[in-house]
Amino acid sequence: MIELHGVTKRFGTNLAVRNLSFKCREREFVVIFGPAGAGKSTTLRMIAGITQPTYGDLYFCDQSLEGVPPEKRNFSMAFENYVLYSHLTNFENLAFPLRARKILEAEIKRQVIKMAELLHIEELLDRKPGFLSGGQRQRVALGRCLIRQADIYLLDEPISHLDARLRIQMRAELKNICLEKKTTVLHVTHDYREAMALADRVIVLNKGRLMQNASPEDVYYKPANDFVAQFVGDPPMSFIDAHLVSKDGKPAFRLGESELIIPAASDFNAEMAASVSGVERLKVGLRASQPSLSSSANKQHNVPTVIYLVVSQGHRNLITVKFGKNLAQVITAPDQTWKVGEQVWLSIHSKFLHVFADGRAIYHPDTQVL
Amino acid sequence: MSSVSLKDVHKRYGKVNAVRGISIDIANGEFIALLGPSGCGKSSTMRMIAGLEEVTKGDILFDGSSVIASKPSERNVSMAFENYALYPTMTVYENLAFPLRSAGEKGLKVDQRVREVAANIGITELLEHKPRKLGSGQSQAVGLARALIRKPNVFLLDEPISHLDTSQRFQMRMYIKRLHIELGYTMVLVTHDQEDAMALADRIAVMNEGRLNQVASTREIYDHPIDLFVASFIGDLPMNFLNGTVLRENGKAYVQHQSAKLELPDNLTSQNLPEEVVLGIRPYHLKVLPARSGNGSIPAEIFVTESQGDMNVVTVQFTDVRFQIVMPITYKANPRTPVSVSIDQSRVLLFDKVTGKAIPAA
Repeated sequence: MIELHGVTKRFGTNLAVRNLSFKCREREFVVIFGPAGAGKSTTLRMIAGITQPTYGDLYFCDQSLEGVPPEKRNFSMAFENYVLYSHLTNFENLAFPLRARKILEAEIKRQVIKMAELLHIEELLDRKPGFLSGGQRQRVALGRCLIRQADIYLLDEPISHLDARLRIQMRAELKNICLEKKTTVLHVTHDYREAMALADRVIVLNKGRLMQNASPEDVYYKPANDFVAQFVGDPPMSFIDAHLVSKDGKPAFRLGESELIIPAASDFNAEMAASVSGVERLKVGLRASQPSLSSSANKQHNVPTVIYLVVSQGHRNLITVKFGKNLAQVITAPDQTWKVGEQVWLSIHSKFLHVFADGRAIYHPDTQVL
Repeated sequence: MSSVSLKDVHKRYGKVNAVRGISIDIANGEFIALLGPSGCGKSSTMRMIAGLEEVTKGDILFDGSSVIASKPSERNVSMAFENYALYPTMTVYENLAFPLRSAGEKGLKVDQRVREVAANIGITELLEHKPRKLGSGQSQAVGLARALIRKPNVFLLDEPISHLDTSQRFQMRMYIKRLHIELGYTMVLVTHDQEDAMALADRIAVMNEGRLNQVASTREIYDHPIDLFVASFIGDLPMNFLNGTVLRENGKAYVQHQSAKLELPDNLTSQNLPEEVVLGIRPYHLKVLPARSGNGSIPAEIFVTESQGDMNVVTVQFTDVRFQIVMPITYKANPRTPVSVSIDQSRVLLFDKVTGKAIPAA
């Protein structure tokens, strides 16, 4: 439905978006995800027509959007600073897009009240926007965006100003509204949990560049590079410097400056080994849910480490262990704890290791195993 | 470093009672978090500890001596803010030296202290840089170093990392926590983010509307919240709540809400229960089962499922109630699929609906 082709945006000397290409299909919920300054909002604003690309093309249903002003694109927007009509009540703000379509008053009222109930703002309908908190205003703006019938919905951090509890409720509500309306959505966020929860597909951006364009599962289990690997997931993926060596005639990894050798997984083939031999920056990656810790060494737990940090998350503990210059994160049950400085043994199994060469992903473990 | 005691501290701004009788004892070297929503009085409390605000009523003691008549500079308290501005025309070295020189320190002593703190914080290689060359994580580290340069009695952190993105916050949290382990300062963190409080603090003081609801270890606050407010505020996923009335039948007790009936465990059944209660259960303590699984499970319907990478958050609906349930990443279900919900009874929490207080189990 929407296609970006080689889109670049320059502000002065700053390249906010660099050669970005991707497609968004009908009824897809696409999340544009990345840190602050990645170019996400700029990308959305170009799709909306508020900003023009410096180079490249944007298409809607194969028709170029060049020269098409925002008001002629049938896209509904909820942007972070999207102004509400301050002289109208919140009811009227929500009703506004419907009035333009000459819908019957009773139906307008029904739709406005329904949307207000979904967003928990039904008690605010008689007030004007000026008397609302940031989070309440944000929901009115979101409501006005969603109530409209449009080809595409463009949402820029639409629930970011809500407190944690309300944000999680609204996230589920937003997902449901979009599923029911069978809409096409482009949603910008820097919160990976929001991206994972809502997306059919995730476009990961960093410093204006496309890092990965994939399903949430693939972005999590098969990150294209080390940026995606450490930006997605809580905690971020742990990286350990490694050297490719040979053990019993098969590829293996020597960890850091240690003598520890971990054989590569059985499906780490010769082609992959060839692509990493001689690479300067080789590292292996580990998600915190895979390794485990033991107070004493055994066949499985054979890497001696020291407890660096113990962090409580309520439902689980996050333990950081140190060996050599490397730090690794391990998730444990909430009652499993050690003292900082204590020695523990870590299990690192080859079947759980991701391999990155110069930042690019070379090998991912089979997700069935994880 | 010092121990800090707040004794029945009040703060009024005109007609507004921002802080209403807070008492806490913070041990020497302890890391405590003041956690609560905006407007709860946490920042006012911190500012009174620093001496930036006067106490309306009550007392604040450092190592047993009252400090409420002392100026901020006399209290030797350091603060690190969210946007701790560094002087852009000075190098990092000069930024760190500034508080010492302002206090009249000179020469070799200044140099030694700057290099010592820089080494402790891990920013030695940044000393000759100007602030504009620093990344945000590096700026924060320099800000922390500057706050620590005069060896404060108490180190106050006011929302120091809430504006950073997830991976930056993760790094800074590790950093701040390691700093506490290595240097042992008495630290008070003010935050609205329960994740920061849980990760960093030894104990958490949960505040709401100027009052202190509960001060306890992270384990205790999570497992045994003292009231509905604390229960709803703590936890990466919000606690599920069900309003209902207590029903006793055949020696068992249930919480009833419209057509839904949830059985209570024995250690709550044996207690004196009010008529109107709120049942609380965390998303990790529920399971989604196939429809008609029986055995006390509640019939429900899937509302949405949300992937989180390493788990799925499933929202189910029964009557007018929605519960969130954490399921493995392999669980897949479409909206409106009929299911059953089972509860881990041992993790059920019960609250008095009128007072909001937790009903203790036997």
